[in-house]
Parts: sequence; structure tokens; C-alpha cells
Amino acid sequence: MNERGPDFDELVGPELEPGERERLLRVHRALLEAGPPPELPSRLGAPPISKVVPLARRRRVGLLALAAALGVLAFAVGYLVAEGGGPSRDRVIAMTGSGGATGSLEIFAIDEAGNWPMRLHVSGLAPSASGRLFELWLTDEGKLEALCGSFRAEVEGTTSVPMNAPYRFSEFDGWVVVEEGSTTPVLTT
Amino acid sequence: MFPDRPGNDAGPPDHAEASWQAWQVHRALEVLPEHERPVIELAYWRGLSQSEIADSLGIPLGTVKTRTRSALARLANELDGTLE
Repeated sequence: MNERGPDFDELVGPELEPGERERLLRVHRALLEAGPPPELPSRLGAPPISKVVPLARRRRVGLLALAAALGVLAFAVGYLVAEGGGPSRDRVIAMTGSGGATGSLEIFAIDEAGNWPMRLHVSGLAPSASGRLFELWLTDEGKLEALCGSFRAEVEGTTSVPMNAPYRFSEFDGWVVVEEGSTTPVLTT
Repeated sequence: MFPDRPGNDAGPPDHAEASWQAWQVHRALEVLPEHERPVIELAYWRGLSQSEIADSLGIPLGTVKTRTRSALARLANELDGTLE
């Protein structure tokens, strides 16, 4: 083979008819002009890297498929937890206030650490004029005894916030929501 | 700076035509039998002589010549009408 490729006469021999020789010569020239395909077959002794790249690509595709499957599984688990696989609701405390404000406090089953997960839903309670936060307190005999959490009311008047209380509820006699720094309830049980 | 007159290099249409023909040639190679395709690939793209191909594939030199000629004829049939 020289720079122009293999010797055509060596390839086909001298005994071809002129017409057939011309036909094969056109193929010979076409092969030289075309050059090798983008990916040479492995039997041509391609460098090892050409064998590694497709394998890495397959692994990458496999990892992507695995990641997608795990994502779907995580979503399904999250959905089940959110829809009923989570902590069971222990009780709901209704609250009322002036101006039509209402609230409900969902208390879920106590966790292993002794905390009561809760979620406070409030309607008809506008943000305080002072800009202060609202606070949820446990009360005993009309006094604020244990702070359970604070929140900022939404402008629309409807707010839903998670809270947590590490207290023994039997030691208290009610719940109130007050404006931060105030003892006047805006919502009571 | 760009030259102020056309060069002798092939323009985009020529490149497109060459790419199209190369694609056809590569596709035609796929129709070759498994025992014929290696002799073409080794001769044209690995630069092996007929004797080296015979050694590489472990077949007689005469078989290499026969397969090469047969493969070229198949390619000619496959590419009939597409080659100038």
C-alpha cells in the first residue's frame, strides 16, 4: 500500500475483463475517497480507548436509568407518606377569634423523641398592624405557660404552618394565639 | 484576512457530495458477508498488503485475493448508479 491506498492491480489481478476492471476500479476509488467509517470495527485492532468509550457510555446510560428509577421510587414513597404513610393525627383543636378569625390545630402522634408534631391552620387572621409575629401558647388558668411556635400571617388571611411541642398536654388547660409581646388572645380554644 | 478571490478548495456543495458518497460506501460495506468485509477494511484502512491480510486472518493468500475481488464486485453492484 502506498499513500494512495492499496495497489488496485494487486487486489484484483491482471485477468479481469476491461469492463469489469473499470467497474471495480470505480469502487476502489470510492473506497479511497470515503475513508474509514467513523467507528472502525474492533477486529481492525482499534486502540483500547475505542472499546472503553462505548462501555462507559453504557454505564452512564445505566446509571441515568437507575437514577430515574430511584427518583420515581422516592416520589412514590414521598407521596405515600404525605397521603397517609406519615404520622397519624392524634387530635384536632378548634380555635376561634374576633372578626371571624378561626383556627384549627392538628396534633399528630408523638414521635420517639417525645415531641408532638403539629400543624396550625388559620383563616381570617390578617397580619398584625405592628408587623409582629403571632405566637401559639399553651395556657394554664388563663396564663401563657408554654410557647409552641410563632408565625407570620399571610396577607390573604389564610396561613398554615408546622409546629412542634415537647410538652405534656395534660399539664395545661388550653391554647391561645397572641401577638408577639401581648397577652391578649386573637384566637382561643 | 479573507482572500479576495475564490480558492481552489472544495466548497460546501462539494463537501456535502463527498460526505453523501462516503456514507453510501460505508452503508454498502454493511451488506458484505462477514468473511469478505475484513479483507476490504484491512486493505484500505489498515494499510495491510494481501500477504499481511492472509497472515492476519490466517487464510491462504489466494483466498484473500478471491474474497477481495468478490467484495469489490458486491460493492460495485450495491453502488451501481451512485458512482461516477
